[in-house]
Amino acid sequence: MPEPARDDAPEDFAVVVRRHQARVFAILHRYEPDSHRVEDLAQETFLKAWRARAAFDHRAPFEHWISRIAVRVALDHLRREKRRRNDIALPELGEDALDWLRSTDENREPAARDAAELLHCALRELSPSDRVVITLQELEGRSVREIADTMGISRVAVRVRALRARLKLRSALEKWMNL
Amino acid sequence: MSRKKLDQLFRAARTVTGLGPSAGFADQVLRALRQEPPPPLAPPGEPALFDELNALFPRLAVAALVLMALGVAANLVLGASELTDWGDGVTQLSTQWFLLPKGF
Repeated sequence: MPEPARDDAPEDFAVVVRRHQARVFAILHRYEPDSHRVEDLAQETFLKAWRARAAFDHRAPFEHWISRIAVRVALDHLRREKRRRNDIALPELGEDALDWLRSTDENREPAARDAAELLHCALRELSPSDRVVITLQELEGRSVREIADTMGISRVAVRVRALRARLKLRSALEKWMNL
Repeated sequence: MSRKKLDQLFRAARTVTGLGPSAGFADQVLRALRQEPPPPLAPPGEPALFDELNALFPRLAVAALVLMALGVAANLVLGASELTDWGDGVTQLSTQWFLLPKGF
């Protein structure tokens, strides 16, 4: 598997980019729906990896290392967006998504696209770090330990943030149910 | 909203995958990497005392050998010419200089 080395030429690193770009895009897409912005964030991720390649110690797989950088790039992006969009109005949700949300039938599964739309809007109500924690846990299926390592926080803090994020998400969704 | 409904939402959203990278993405990153400035070179710092001594060592060793050789040679010459009071003469001169009331 291609991994970067301290004395790599940019051409060698391009092989690493080709190998891991799909994974990086998948992570970033969880936090940003716009594909052009995802591409910018992915480029930022690989540039950061290139600059920090001397710090990669080959003890853990490179995929974990680049994933961690991608999550941190996403977190910075969310913080910037939060500052920029502090005064955003209620999100515009599609009729189908709202229809599922207001349905009392608990056995009715939402369409994947509606679910993604609803979650994307509801997640904007959370703080950037709570959002990253709940995304890693519920959408990426990462363990508490992995999330703690990725974010550089304790496992207790991960559990607290995940619980708080779920409560806030439910509260945001209930607000839209009653609109 | 029930916990079950929230879990349904997560489960469904998990299956959504975004668009992958465009065909030229890696080349785009490569172009950006080529524009990256090279890492700064470490500024030359003050050489350490031991580095300076190491650099001077051959010359210092030669100088010490020359001094020792000169000393041995002088001793031999003085011994051969029977000028044994050379040391006494020097002592006498310096004593006189120190004891002069107005110096030179």
